[in-house]
Amino acid sequence: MDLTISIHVRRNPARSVAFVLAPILLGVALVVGQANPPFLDDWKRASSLIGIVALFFAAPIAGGVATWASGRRRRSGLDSLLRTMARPWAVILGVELTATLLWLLALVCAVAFGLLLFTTLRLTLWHPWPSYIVVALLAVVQAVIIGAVLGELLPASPVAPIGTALVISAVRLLWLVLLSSGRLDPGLQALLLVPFGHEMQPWLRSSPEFLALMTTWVLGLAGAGCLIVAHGRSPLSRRIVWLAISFSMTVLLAAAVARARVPAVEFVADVPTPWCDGTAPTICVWPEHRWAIPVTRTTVTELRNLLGDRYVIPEVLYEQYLPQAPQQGAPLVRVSGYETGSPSPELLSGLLAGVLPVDPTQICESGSEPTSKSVETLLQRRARYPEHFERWALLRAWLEFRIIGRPVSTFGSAGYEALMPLLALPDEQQRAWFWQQADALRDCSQPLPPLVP
Amino acid sequence: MSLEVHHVSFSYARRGPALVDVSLSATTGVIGVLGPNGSGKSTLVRLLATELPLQQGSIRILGQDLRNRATLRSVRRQIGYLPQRFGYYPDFTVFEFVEYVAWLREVPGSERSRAVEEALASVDLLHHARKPLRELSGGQLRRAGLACALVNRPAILLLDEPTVALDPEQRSAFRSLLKQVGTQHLALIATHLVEDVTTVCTKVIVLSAGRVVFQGTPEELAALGQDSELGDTPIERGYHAVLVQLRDHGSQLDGSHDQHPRET
Repeated sequence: MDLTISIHVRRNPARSVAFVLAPILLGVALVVGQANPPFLDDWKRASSLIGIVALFFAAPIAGGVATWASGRRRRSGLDSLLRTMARPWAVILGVELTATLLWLLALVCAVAFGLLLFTTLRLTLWHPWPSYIVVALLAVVQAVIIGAVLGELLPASPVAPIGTALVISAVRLLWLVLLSSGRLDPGLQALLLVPFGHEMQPWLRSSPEFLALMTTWVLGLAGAGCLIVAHGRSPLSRRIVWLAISFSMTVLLAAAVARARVPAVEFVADVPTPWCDGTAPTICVWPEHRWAIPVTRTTVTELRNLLGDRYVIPEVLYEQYLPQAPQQGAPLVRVSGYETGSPSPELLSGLLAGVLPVDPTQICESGSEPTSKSVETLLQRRARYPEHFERWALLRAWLEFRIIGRPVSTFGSAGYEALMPLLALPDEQQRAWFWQQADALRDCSQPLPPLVP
Repeated sequence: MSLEVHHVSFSYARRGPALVDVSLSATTGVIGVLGPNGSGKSTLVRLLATELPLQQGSIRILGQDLRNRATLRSVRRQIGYLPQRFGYYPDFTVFEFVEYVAWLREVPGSERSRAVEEALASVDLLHHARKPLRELSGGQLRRAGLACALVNRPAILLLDEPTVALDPEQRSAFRSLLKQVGTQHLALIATHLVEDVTTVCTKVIVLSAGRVVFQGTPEELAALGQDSELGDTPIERGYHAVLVQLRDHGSQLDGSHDQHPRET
């Protein structure tokens, strides 16, 4: 075991590649990243795809193959020696394999630590760093990993390195798809997306994931301190410290992942709505949905023109550096991840006349919150029933800040569920309820009427 | 200690025959294998080191047939091997790498550290024991490789071009070491440097195109070169004489010396 650890600690074949790749990629990241939105905002764009392919796949694999090729001669000599040893070849390969995996484990932990550190810094400083930097750093790290695998583990076969590179790429692709598709647990997804330029939700800061993140950081720093102290002592002590850091960080990371859960949308529950204080609420479009600003502004303007004599429609505010809900502001209306179209004249006429749209469950299956996993379905339905979709999108925003008084279109569906008894009613009954409660809804001195007729 | 090679032939898939019907035997001393580039020296050493599989003929080391898988492990435990191209992990220290090789050669754990220190001391690298291998010079690396070959106190030492990259002083020290090893053990060195053979070897084998074209003592080789003008030393003249004779009368020389291996 001691010798296994020895190999694990001592090998770092792709270091030189990383040193070359890092400044190049970081330079690209700084220049390109300033002018472009994060990859994962719109990863289906051609430019995003090119970036992803270049930084996530081409560069790491090229770096790995280059490392493998540059070390082939040296490994060939080592192979000659190892093949004549008394220990069975399978044992030798096993030791080398274990050593490499340990090395990779430590490396992955270090990467995770780096990401967590970055996330924490972002949370602390609230600075919108270009996500390209992180992506570029990830690419470098991948080059190191692939180089390590190709360079040390698979010395002989020219086929195996290619296979390994493909497997790593496939895993990477799967991770990207999972991250982009919304199939991950929302809490975990939110945490993972932060380094890519997405904002941290306030609820996450009191979550177990964040606690684990902070603990990992503290332990990581402590471990790094131990490593510095141990440096210069016996190799064994360095190995033990290194392994302890790897182990503790892995456990904490696993715990964070395991404890990731669907968060409740409760962070605005205690915030008094300023609707009744004469302060206009704010409609905030979050940075990742900046593309929706024109549409939202147009919609709100038209709605204000049509309904302004009856309701106060606030301005749309785009918060580029929005850290959290404004302290004295209204609940945020977050435009969710599907497009809202301009309201049709027919819809606006209908709204003005107090005609409510059809049951939105026709659009949102089973009444659930539309998520990106059902975006395709939604888009198809939108193409098929555009008026339904527009009505629902507009109505929901209207209902959110007027009736519920808090956002329902963020994670979870607590607010939406509260609305469901009303929205599940037939159109006639919904319309009748609205007409009956219209005055109560406008009069802020009165409590909100019950949502169930 | 004994080494017996009987009618061994070996062919590479791409390069064709590398050894043709090679036979030799020895018990103790230092055997020098001379020959021009591509003559099969390294192939012979790699076969003896069990790096390459035996194709034709038989090899017995320490009385054990290399084809016998059951005894191969015990044979390998008693072999020390320095390949022509010494591969290593650059971030290992000298001590760690030699220790790793000791573990691979199944040196008992209780003796390992001492064995490593002895091996490093014998090649004068003890004071560089904590230095990473990547920081060593070419000559120091070669000596580290030699330490790896010596760490299991081998009964048979197989060295492929061991003096390459050594400076004259190191080369001299290395030859002294080999002489010392040769008094108790059997060492076989493949080299193209005739002076290595002159000063160290008790027996010389000359290979050409995969065949043994001379087998005898250094004195016998020197005697063959009495009429030759090529070379600076008697052995060099003898070596060149053998190669010239082979070139001029190849068919007559083929097998003329290799059919009757001598004990040394």
